[in-house]
Amino acid sequence: MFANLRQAMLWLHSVLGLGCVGLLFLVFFMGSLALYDSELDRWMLPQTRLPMATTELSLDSQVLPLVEPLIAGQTLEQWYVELPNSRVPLLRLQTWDLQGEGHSRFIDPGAGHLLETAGSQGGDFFYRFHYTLHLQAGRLGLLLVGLASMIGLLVIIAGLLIHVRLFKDFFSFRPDKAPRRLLDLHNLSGVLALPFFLLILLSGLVISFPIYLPVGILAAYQEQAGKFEREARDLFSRPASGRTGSLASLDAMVEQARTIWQDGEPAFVRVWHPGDARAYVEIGRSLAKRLSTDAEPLYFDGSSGQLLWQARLKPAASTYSLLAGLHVAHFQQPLLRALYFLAGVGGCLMLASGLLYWIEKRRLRLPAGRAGLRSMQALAASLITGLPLATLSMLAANRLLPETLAQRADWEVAAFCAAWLAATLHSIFIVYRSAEHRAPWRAQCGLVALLALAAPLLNGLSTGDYLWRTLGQGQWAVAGVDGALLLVAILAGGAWLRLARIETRPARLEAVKDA
Amino acid sequence: MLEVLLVTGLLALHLSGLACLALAQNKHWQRLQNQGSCPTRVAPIGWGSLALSLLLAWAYQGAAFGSLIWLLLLPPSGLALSFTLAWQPHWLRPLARLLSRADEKR
Repeated sequence: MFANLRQAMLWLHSVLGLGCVGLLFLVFFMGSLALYDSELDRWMLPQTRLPMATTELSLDSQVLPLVEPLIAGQTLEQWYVELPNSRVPLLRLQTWDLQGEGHSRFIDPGAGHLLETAGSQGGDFFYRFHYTLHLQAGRLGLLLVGLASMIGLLVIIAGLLIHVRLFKDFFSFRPDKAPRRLLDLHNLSGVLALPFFLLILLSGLVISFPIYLPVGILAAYQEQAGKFEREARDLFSRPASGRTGSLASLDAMVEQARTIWQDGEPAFVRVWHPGDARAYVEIGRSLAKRLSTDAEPLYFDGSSGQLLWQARLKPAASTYSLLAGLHVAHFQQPLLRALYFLAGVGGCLMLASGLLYWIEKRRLRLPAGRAGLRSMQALAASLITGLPLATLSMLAANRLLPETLAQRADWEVAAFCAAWLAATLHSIFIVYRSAEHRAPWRAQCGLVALLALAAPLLNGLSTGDYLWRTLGQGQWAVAGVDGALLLVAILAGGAWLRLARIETRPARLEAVKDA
Repeated sequence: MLEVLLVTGLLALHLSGLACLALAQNKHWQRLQNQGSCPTRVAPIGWGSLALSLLLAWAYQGAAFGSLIWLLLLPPSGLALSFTLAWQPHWLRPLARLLSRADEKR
């Protein structure tokens, strides 16, 4: 069927690549945004724009008095407090009742009151969309993402085999040759970030392997839900006694934990069977300065405050934690987070330029637009400009919807979906109406620029936090999101102007041959 | 202050390392210098500069974070360099001149 290996790989690369480009673009786009989920939280939930605490919180005298009235009169399986850190100036309280129903709330640690955060999902929407695609039913989204990652790995390997001049073209970008520049951009962004792509796709699959390949775990741990995790992560548990008991000083336990971890800081405190005589306290270590997700939890007896158990991962589990940590990026080193973000954007660039190259070459080769070509043109527009358009519409809706609206968070998601659908329909309509292939781009770039300008303005109008004020006050999270939006506005506006100037040039045969 | 110095040095050495490796390819060298072929020393200088930047990255954030930073710097600095070579190649002329002068003295 194929003359040589390269031909076969070329076929594989384009067929599988076109098949999963949509899913992968979505995942890379949302994953990049998810790296700044806390910053987006601050932007989308203005009531959480609190100054960073300068003094350390005392669990006994500051946190417990806040938590106790909230859980009074309930029998809980556990409650959990996430302590403020350099990205999150809030306390997060989660409670689980005996039926396993969870409830999450944010507390202002300075003023000591609950914050009303039901009005928006904040950055969490993007974080979850990254791996669920907002398709919760039957974990369909997660399965699709897994499938796309596996295909993505195949496509990358096939792409490497096609790329004969890997080292000769390592820095080659020829912007004056029409379809060739897209291929150059595809090769450059693909090859330079190759280690990142392999790492992120593989570790993504590793993180969710119990869902992708449940059979092995089910065979070894029949009807013992949670035992696999308990053994792998070396967790401790004991049942409640039914008698009431008191809680010893949490601060003293944190002090003990600090001496055991040496230079580690606590990130969370979890109280199991609160109020029971056999209550116990789990304290986990901050992951801000490490790659691995291993929190090295310590377990203390609730009534005496004595150390009960110290979780120590076996090497195999440590390896898994490291791979997971490389993917979920819980570390807080700002430069490294920024580079992860840029690499994710680079992934979008690679996918977009690959798709556009295929379209351009097809367009030059075939006389008239065929159905396959046209659908790919519409797909490209709905991803490359449609997805930013939907995200920006969500941010604008976040600032425009009245605070009192019932189910406000759902309306924001509706705004996202509606804008995306509209952008997709617009591209389909334009692509089928005219042979002029640039048509959907110009309008959508203009709209992206307008929305990206409107969002910081709406933020300023509704909260008073204009960019100059947030910069002056050192609210870096809000200022950063505003700055990034303005950058998007400049880039999209520039593209809009350029697209207006460019006259469509007739395709030349030399250009086709050269590509 | 030390952090700013480390990060600047790290970025500068990473970029100049990649720039040397690009100039070591004759097509880029000839575009900048118009004649001759690239001195043989340029590629090793580039590798040395990249290795130094890795050392700086380790000094800045330790072996784990440092290696990751160094690896993830490749896409942004490689793309920036390729765009410079395509659109503003004269920005790299001082570096090319410096490299050829070092070769003449030898």
